[in-house]
Amino acid sequence: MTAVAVVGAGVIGKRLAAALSRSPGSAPEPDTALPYLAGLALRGPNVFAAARPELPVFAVDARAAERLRAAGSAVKGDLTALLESADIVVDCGPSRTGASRADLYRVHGIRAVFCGGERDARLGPLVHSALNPEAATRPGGLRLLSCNTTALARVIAGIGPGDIRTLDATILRCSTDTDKATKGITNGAALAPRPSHHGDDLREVAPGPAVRTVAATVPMTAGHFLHARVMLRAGLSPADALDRLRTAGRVGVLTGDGPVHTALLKERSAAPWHDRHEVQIVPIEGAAADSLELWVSLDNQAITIPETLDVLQLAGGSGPAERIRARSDRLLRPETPSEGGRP
Amino acid sequence: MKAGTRATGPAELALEGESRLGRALSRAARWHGYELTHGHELTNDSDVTHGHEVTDSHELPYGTSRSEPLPGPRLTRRRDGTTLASVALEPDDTLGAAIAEDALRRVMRSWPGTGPSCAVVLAPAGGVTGPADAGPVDAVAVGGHRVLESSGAHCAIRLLRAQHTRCWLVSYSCEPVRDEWPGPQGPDVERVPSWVALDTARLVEYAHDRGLGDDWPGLLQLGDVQRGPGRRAEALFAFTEAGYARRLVGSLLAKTRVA
Repeated sequence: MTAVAVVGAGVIGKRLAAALSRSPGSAPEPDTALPYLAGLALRGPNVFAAARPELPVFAVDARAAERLRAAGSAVKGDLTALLESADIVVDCGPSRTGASRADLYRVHGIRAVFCGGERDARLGPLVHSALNPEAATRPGGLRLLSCNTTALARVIAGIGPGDIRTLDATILRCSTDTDKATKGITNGAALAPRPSHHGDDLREVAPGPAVRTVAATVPMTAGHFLHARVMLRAGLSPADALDRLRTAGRVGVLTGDGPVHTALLKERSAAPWHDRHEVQIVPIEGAAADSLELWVSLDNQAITIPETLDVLQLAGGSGPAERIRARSDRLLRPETPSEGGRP
Repeated sequence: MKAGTRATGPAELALEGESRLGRALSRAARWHGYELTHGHELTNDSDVTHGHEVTDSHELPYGTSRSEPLPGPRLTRRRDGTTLASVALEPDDTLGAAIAEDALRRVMRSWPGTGPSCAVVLAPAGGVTGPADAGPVDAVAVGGHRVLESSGAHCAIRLLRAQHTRCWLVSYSCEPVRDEWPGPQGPDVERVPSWVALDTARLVEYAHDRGLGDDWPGLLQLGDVQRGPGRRAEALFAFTEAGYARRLVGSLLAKTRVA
């Protein structure tokens, strides 16, 4: 069994903590292959911790402990105690702050997995469970892909990296998350003048295709979406490539003639928080004979959770990647679909 | 077949016609233990109760009365293909006002013993109505002004519509008859700590974190009651369509139970 310390309870950390806390790995007769939650480390009062007081909360330092207690949260100990009781730590702190905690993890001799957004290659290689799962089985830290990169990685994995010549994507990302009103632009779009990091990240986990990505930020919270043009290797027809996506894991190809509204895609999800663990694809008609043109809609908070669970199992040596991926999907599937429901 | 006629098949709930409350009604029906079916044709059944008949007669929605014909969508309870009872649903263009007034009545009930009150309701442009397809975009739409009467108390309401989707907000201002009069109380009201209720994003995420989804039927009071000047008191509440939808379904079920 792998005991997991989760550092941070933002939109990613709390989803991971929720999944690990209902993992059969923590049940009386556990599935020993599944990781489970050892504890959740926080810097201060947190809405999720207030909503889920039964979860084991640890404070990153004395000041955090004081603030947490003042807000009514029970504190089980400090970060050191949590790291000593865990087998692996997932750092879900604010983007690009993981490096500041890497030394602490090293001192405690605990393997660290950093959530998407960490650019510092010294933290470890980027890993995606379908494209380069072997990276997770080697010792040392690991970096997970960001949400948009995860979506594109699934497209590449679904079609097959060897059958893609080029992938060009224009990413339209939410300016904030569902839990943050005071972040991001309120009107218009912010256009980035340089290619986005997603292309570089994808080349690291899938070196074959030539990938170029650009991004703009717009004021919405219903999930990122992107336009992708995929040029295929000779011999693979667009119809066959689309069929591969239809049968790919964690990919849903939407059908129908009408426009697709991303807010409705999110609202219709029966999972807690209206999470969508699948990437949803709308094929665009009329592409060139050797290419696929796609709208790709994704949940910027939830989409990385399945791959995070995969990587935790890969790092723990819990079997072949395919079986691990199926196990992660089962863990995230609501037993009784309902609108809302306990996270 | 009218209510009370002997029938043997399982009872079902159906939404006849189109209503933007459809998804909220589906969730409300599920909460009551039923699956709501959609898309049945409207019937001419005369045994139809208006959605607000469960309230006092003087609390019927604006522009409606029992003598009016009842066109538009309705919620029905059927058995063996026969309608046992129906509740007419508010048309889409007045649905927002009906939901707001339903919530205001609950606020007024939770905070009795006050003089005339006033309220500003900020309705989500997307929410019960789904993603808005006609704005407002980067703007607030100014709705009507009306006076709501409930159990002898009066409240002047202003309805605004804004470009957000998460919940409804109402700022309710009143003058308690005594200085030490308590704030809103009762099982329908839950006070959310101020540090959680900094904005509706955090507030609604808190509801999701607790597993309530979109369906918190009560009133969430954002922080403490604000006092002054004089005895005047003001409180801010958030709510969803769930309470309104559950009461509609409940009133239909109660009607057939009585029958």
